[in-house]
Amino acid sequence: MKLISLKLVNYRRFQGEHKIEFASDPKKNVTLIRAENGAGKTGILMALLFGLFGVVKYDQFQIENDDDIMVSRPLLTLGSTVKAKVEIEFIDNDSNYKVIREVTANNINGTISQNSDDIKVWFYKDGINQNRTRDEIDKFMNNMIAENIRGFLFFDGVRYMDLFKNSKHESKKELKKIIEKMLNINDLDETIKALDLLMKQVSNETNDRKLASKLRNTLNDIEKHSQEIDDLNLQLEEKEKFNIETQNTYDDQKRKANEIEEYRSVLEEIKSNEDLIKQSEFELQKEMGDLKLDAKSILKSRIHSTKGKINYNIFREYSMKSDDNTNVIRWVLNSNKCICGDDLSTDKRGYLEKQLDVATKSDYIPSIGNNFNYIIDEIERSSKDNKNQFNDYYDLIDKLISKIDSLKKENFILHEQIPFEGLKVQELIDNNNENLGMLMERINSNKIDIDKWKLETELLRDKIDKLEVVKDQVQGDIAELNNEKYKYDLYSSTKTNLLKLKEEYLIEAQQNISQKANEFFKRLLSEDDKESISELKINSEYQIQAFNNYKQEIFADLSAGQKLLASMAFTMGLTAVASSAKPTTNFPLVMDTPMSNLDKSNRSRLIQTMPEAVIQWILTPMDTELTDFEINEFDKTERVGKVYLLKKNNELSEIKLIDNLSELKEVIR
Amino acid sequence: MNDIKNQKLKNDINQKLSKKESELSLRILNSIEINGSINQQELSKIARELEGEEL
Repeated sequence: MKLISLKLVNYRRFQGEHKIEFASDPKKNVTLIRAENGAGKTGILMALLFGLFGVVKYDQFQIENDDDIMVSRPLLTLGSTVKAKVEIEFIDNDSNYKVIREVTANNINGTISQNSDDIKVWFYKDGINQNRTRDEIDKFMNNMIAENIRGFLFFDGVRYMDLFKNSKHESKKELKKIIEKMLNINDLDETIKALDLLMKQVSNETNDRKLASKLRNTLNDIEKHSQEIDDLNLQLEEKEKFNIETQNTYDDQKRKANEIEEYRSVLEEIKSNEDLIKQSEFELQKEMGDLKLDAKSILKSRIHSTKGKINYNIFREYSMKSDDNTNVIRWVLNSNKCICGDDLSTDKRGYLEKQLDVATKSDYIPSIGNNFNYIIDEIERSSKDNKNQFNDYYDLIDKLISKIDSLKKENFILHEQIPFEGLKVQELIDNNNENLGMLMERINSNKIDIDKWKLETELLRDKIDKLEVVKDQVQGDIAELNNEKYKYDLYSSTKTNLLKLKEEYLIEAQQNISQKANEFFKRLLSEDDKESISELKINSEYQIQAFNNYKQEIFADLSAGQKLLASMAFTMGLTAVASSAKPTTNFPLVMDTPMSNLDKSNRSRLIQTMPEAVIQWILTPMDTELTDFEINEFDKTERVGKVYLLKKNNELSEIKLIDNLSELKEVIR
Repeated sequence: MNDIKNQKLKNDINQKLSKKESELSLRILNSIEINGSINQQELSKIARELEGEEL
């Protein structure tokens, strides 16, 4: 089955006519419907469920409002009657189908009401109106996608996370219910219940006091133990619920701890930078000192280097007047003339300024004024050795200064990344570790209680099993007295055989679902994750389990994202078993807020894997789930055929078709 | 989907249970209403019929 289009007329937030065409090309099978919060993304899914199956109660979505009005509310002015219409086109077995459903609401004296029982339906096959009743259409659609797997095909990320939380009692019950319904175990259970009733009918009453009392006592004991089990289960549920909550808090804290740890590495980097800065500053000081010590000869060499066309007299005159050779340089700088008479070039000027700076800071610069000739000689001599020394010093110093500068800049950026004061990190880490330890302790002590109660429950079940045997014997005896033994035995053996059949079904389903979920999980997991998670399984208690390479159960240790992937894999496994297909399904998969719990790498895995695994993938991500990153990932798959944007405008929303992913990026920017 | 699964259930009942047992099971299965519960009247009828068949 493939969805072709969805047309909404005055439906919920979508006033007037809106149409979404779904990507249905095998190579471009992904439809993205990006929505800001509250823009009606869940409404799109509800429209699909309503249009296809006539569903008006949406168990799979977290909707609190019972008074669910499908007609666009702003249109329902006082005294008005307004129709909302949902039209869905789809292809199945090479035929084109169209279902149209129309619902009416009115506003009488300010009270808005909608008659959900009076929904008009039209059904077309290959363009021809089939003139079918609503019941017939519903039955037809139900045959196509049975109710029991609908919940998995119209997938709410948030709800499924809840369903698959490890060891959650209600989740297990819920899963058990879903799987049994899927396998039609319900019918089998009902048949077994009916046989019980029949057995009772032929064995309940007797004049034999002894047998009657034995039966009564046995039934009472069974009842008593069942009650005890129920009580224990209630306590268990409470403890397990508490542990789930504690585990969630633990996970949150752990996540925070990891975040802090992450900053710790940033801080370590800052620290190591600071050490480097200190070391470089030390080296710099040393080089500066050396430079100062050598400044005399260097200065001479610099003067010498400009000596070529030296205006000897001016230099002589000036130097005779000066008692400090730095004045020579000052004079050159002030006059902006080189000793040779040319204007000072910027380079030369800079050079001299630096030289002056070094020279004035030095205590070792002798006056050259009075021994000019001697100094000129010395300049001649020393310049041969010192010609490049200043350059070397300067280069080294320059490098050190740049290094210090860049380390300081780097540290400034690193500091910016840390949302709290660096010094507090260790404190935060210590606090967190303490909290984590405390939470784990609480979880573990609860686990001891849970295990104890589970054992008690098992013992009680054993007792009940034994009592059931006694009950069967007594009932058999009574049936014999009532001349109904043959009937009783037939009922009893039928029941036993049906129970065996049920057991077989469950084991088979459990194995199949396990296997298929595992196959799919492997496709969703990253290579890294695959190294630490080797298998996904569902055990006989309908509990999802994940194992590492050492066959240790590690579901509780999975990240929230991995758990969501596990639940998706499980969903696909269930769907595949229900549709007896390979771990690809021939149904479209519609996911509401599919990625809220996934980190970037898991999101990109899901984005890569899903288009290959399902015939059609329709997603209604929140704006935060479809950022540039995810859009680029989708772009890489080249699988996205249609892109829509749900825009909120007060009470209403608009559906905007976007040409391609690049345009989507532009629009959301 | 339901039909297919029920068909499998019916086949399995026929194959794995004795003739009498499968007859009885299928009668009950067929008496289960669409909403999945047992139809009491049907059940009494089945019990009476079994009597008539002089088991």
